[in-house]
Amino acid sequence: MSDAFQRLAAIVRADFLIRFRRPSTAVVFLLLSALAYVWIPDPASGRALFVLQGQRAILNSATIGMASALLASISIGLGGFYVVSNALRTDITTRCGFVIAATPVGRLEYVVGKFFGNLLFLLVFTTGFMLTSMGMVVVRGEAGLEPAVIALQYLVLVPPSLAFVAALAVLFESIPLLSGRLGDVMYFFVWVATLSVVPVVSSQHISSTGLLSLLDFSGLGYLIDQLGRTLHTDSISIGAAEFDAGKGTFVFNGLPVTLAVLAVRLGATLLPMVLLAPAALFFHRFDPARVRVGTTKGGTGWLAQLSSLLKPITRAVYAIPAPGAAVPALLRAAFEDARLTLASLPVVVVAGLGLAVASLLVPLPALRTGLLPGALVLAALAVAEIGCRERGAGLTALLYSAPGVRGQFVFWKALTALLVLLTLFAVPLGRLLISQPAAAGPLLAGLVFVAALATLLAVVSGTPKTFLILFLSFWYASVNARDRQPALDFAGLYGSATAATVGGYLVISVVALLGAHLWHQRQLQTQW
Amino acid sequence: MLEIELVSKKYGSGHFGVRDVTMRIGHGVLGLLGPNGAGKTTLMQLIATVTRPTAGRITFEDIDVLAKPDALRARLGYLPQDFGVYPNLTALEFLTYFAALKGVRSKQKITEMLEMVNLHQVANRAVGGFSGGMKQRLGIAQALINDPALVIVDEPTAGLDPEERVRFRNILADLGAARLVILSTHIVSDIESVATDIAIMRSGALVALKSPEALLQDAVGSVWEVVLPSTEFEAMRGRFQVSGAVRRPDGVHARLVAPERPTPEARPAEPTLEDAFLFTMSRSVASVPVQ
Repeated sequence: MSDAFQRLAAIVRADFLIRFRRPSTAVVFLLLSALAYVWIPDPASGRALFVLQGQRAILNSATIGMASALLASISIGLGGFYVVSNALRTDITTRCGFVIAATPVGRLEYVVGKFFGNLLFLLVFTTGFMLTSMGMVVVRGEAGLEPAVIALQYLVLVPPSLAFVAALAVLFESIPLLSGRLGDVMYFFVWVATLSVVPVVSSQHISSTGLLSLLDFSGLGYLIDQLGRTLHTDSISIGAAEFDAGKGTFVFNGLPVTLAVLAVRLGATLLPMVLLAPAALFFHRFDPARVRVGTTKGGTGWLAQLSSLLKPITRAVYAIPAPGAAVPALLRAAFEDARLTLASLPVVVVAGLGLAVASLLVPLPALRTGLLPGALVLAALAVAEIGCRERGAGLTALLYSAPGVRGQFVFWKALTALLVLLTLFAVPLGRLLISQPAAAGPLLAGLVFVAALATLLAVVSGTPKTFLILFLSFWYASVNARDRQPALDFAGLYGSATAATVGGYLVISVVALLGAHLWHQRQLQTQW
Repeated sequence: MLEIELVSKKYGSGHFGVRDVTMRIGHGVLGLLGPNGAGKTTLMQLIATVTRPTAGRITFEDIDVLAKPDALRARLGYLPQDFGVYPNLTALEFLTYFAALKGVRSKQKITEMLEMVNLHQVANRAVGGFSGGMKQRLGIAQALINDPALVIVDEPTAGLDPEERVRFRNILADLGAARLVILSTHIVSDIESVATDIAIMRSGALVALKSPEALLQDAVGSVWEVVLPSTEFEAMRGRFQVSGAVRRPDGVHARLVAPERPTPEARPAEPTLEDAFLFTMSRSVASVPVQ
């Protein structure tokens, strides 16, 4: 074994062990098992996994394999990035990176090692999910278990998604600008952009779409194309879909896998590895002149310089008079925390000022359906870290020594998040109150919901990423919802939110905060 | 032989981390002394190839380190300041990882290193549960796993209890017999028994590179013992460098560093390394620009 290969293998092995021994890994595994159980419904419930023009497919290995592989591919594409994009950061925060920098490990070796580390970790999760799906054939299947059939569906659908996420995570971590929360948000839009090839790929044969087929990382385009060709219909539902029991059942034998298909899917798996070249180029190799230790991300690039440049603007935040002694202590503490949050995010403050000005200038419909949806992404960035900021900075013990904070932590943080959101949305909210009061209530409820969700997920997971991925997915579903379903209009942006919608999101917010509070109390008992 | 010629590290802000440092060092333990922010860590990172200088040249045994960093890296052991660990790995896995990165294939060597730093009995325990001293010992084990010709350890005794500090000093003294060990600290007692040479830095510049004996010789005639009432002692602290003071019934017994006799009652004293360090630093104030 050459020295380079030995180093590469060591990086992959260590990376895998570091991640696999975290307690959160076991939690995710259990959640995946639960997901398989929910995703594959019992036909007796009136819903089926795979429905074709109202007719359901029998639950055999091919059906469960195809549907669960698709779910795995989409889940990895959507959430896998947020699970694995911390490999370089771990080496920075532990300062082990400085030791690595003093060894003969080359830039390309390191990023390739981290890529395979990411890939292996995601592969293990996928394998776990596949095994759970095989178990579901035994539990709910209507035909015998055929492991090879299930494995083949996974083989043809999932690998490109694994490689894409693993490579992009390394690339984003190598670029200081994208190694933090901005990268987390950017990734979501990159992933959504890759879905844009699906309609093209699914409308033509895989072999005739050339390079575009190689960009079909989720496999959705290939799947729709193949199902359309073999089943001769576009009316397909995968997931827990309703079916007409009177139409009987049909047998699905799996996605056809030819050499041409395998070649294209192999190409789509290999293509993301091209990203490792720029990753190696941008990789700082833990040079202290380019990496700021002590923060959870690199921050000496132009964004940090821009923040530094804009920092004086945040002094205005401290010009706002603090609430007097008559105001409850929790609210006073939240006010100070909100000031700190805004003062530490000058770019967000400037964007908030831009939002305020634009809110006064654009027509009302454009404000609601054009400006505010984008502003909610900004809001998510601003509040994602509030509930776990101290934990990340190692200040928890210091914080808990402050009077009143320890027991009321969750409500304090939720109040902080709400104050930040109200500050950013003060002008658009004010305009709605004056011009369209009925729309202001749902927006206010939406902000409460965002604050509660951000607090819950930051407190429970200890990272802002969980909130960002879940909120952005929900936000995407909301702004693209067909027929403007009231249930998804969480901030009343499309005028379809009803009183029940507003009430529902407020109830969810209260439940989320109570859940976070109980979790926090439990943590205090067991760890503090 | 490590040769450093006019090495500087200038950051984008215009601030110099290290400025025009030149030194030549052979085998032994080089104690790198200086207050916080003096540039010790930056100089060590430059030598360890973790970062590149903006000017100057570094060679180790005739190898141009800047042109061929990997040639040095294969023979280098580096323990950075505030060294952390991967908490989920065991000591054995942690050391195996860094051994592989340095091209070491011998499992026997890994076992020997764990024994050397007295961690062999906890080799299969997760390092997240180790004390600060145990983590530092694991750090020194990874630094020595490739039998390096050059060992660089940055503030290795920070956070250690007195017993661990002594143990660590002894390990470093043993190492210096056959190789070059560069040890940075701002605590003089960490190096006074082990250093064969001492480099003193201030504001990114090298203000002295001498043997401990030479540094002590420089300070002869500039160290004084004096007994003062408490009320006068505070005023004296503002005028002279105080290297030590003990309160006793007859007043404060103080050691002062000053070129001239500070009071008519002051008696000349034998300088310690702490005195010599303060003396050198006080002489450098005028010659080194503060950044």
